Amino acid sequence: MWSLPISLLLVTTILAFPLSRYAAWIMNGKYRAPKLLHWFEAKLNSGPQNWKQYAVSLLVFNIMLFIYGFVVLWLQGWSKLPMNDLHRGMLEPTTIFNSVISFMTNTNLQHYSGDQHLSNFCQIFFCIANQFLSAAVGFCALSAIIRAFRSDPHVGNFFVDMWRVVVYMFVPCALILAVIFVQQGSPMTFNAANVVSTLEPGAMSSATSGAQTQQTIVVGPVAALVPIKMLGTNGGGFYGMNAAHPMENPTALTNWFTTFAMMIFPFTLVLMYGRMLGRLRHAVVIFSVMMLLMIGTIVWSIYFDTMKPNPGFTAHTAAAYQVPDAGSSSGKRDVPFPAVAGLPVDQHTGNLEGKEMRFGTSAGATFAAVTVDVTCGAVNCEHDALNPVAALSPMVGMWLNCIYGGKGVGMINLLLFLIIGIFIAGQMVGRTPEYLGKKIGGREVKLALIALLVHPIMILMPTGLFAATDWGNKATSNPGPHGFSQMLYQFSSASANNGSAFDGLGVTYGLNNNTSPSPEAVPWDIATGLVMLFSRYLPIIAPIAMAGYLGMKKSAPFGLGTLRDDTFTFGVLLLGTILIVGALLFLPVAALGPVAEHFGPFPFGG
Amino acid sequence: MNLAIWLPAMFALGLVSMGLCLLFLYACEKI
Repeated sequence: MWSLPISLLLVTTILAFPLSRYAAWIMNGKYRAPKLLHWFEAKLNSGPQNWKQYAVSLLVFNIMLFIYGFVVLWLQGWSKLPMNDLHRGMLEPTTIFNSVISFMTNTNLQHYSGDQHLSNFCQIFFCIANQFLSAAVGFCALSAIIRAFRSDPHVGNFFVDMWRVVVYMFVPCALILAVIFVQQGSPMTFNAANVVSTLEPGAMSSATSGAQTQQTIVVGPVAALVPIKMLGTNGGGFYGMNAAHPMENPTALTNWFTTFAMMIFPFTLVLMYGRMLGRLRHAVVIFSVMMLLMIGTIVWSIYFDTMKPNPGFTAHTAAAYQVPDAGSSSGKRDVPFPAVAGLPVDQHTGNLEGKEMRFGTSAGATFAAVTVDVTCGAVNCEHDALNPVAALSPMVGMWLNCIYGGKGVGMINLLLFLIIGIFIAGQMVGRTPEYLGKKIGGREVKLALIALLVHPIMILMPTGLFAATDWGNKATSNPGPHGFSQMLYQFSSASANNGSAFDGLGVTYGLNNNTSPSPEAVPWDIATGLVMLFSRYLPIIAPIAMAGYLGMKKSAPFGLGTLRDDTFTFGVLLLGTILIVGALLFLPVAALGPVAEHFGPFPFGG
Repeated sequence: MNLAIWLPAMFALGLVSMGLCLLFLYACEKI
């Protein structure tokens, strides 16, 4: 049970050290590129940029990504486009809007099912393309912030940084992983589907002539998509079932590599931050704080989901439920059912509902904790089926949004807590707060707080709005607190640019010619789309500005009273800031959702 | 769904939202 998370944390930590050295070497531009690659890089280099030019380039690039993605999805049904053998039509406009923003912001929240609604052309030219490019954006933003902190004359060139990240980091790592996935059985083809006869005759029903209906198994370039889906902490799967699908994640070995792949770059970038600043000890302190939080979320998730039974079974007493009965005077009759606790249901392996047994009992809980910590969003189990208190673990991971986090943006989010923590510490001891030798002034604190507050506002306000209206209440599939948790999770996932979900929420419209879409899909598409967009870019722009202003200041000499940032005390300060600020922001809403569900009536009855 | 209304509307909504992010960038300069 514990060997999976322990092996993952150990191996990823060990490999993060040499990979961070390589990453720093690349982002510092110390490499010598082959001639052809150097030619491309020279063409992309529009010259050194200051923080504002860098941020503008970042935003303009993403605007181009939006236009490109919108056009590709809009044209999906066009007969002239290749690789659409299953004749997928156009997605519905709000689904296009939501999907484009989702992939552009590295969220990969999928209000559609890849195998049902997308052609292979869109999987390649929309999904995979966005997964490489959107993943690199956060990486580049962190690099710019590091150079600003170093008081470099300029913060680099956004386009050169994008090139470096994609060509020298993501592509080589994705190629290695793709070979492993192909070997383990993931499909890798441009064909759209295999049509097969099932082993069990008539399993897919029979035609009126008596001929057995064959099964259509959608296939495609799955082994090309999954590596970058995980390495780039994207999370958007080829199939709707994501990493629970037997072709997207065939074996326990691919499950291990899938989990490792989403952890490696977030771990690496924390250490790269320290290497590029020349303060590796400081980065190790930050790494340790994040490791403590990640271990906490993993242990919490495994303990409450794999080591505790499903409360729906253990708490269910004998009762009766009513079904329609035309023959009775009241139109209903009671159907008694016994106390489930007395039934011979073995629960010593915990809650197995929604789990893929080929991965082992704790794999679902481990993956659930890790995927939200690193803001990947891929899932290998049904998060809606997690025990209520276990579901707090993924939610907390999304709310804090700095436990390693996405590549680059997780470290950026932690820097916001760090600046606030140093500021508070400075106030407490009566000294001007300083970070990296630069005095933190009002402007830096304002920018850090604005960036920090975007996330809770984008979660709590829409959750409240949807919970108070039919937009939310008619979309939930479970009563009471669990339904509230479904809504809360959706907005938390959108704001954290995570992309996982408590499936069961009716948010899917899908294809434009869908005759029975979820009734509230349109408001959910638009609301989560806007949340993803603002929660992605505002907390990137403000920290780049903050770093730019901080970098322009003169360095203050290190003195006896300077707060050291590479000590145990600093780690405790950082951890305390994260936990206290996070708790103040989100404890009330946690009480309304998963905590209420745990202590109140279980989901099966009133 | 009336595609002639919804498609351009969603496209415009995305561009306007990104424009707001650009405005936010300029606002950060003024802080």
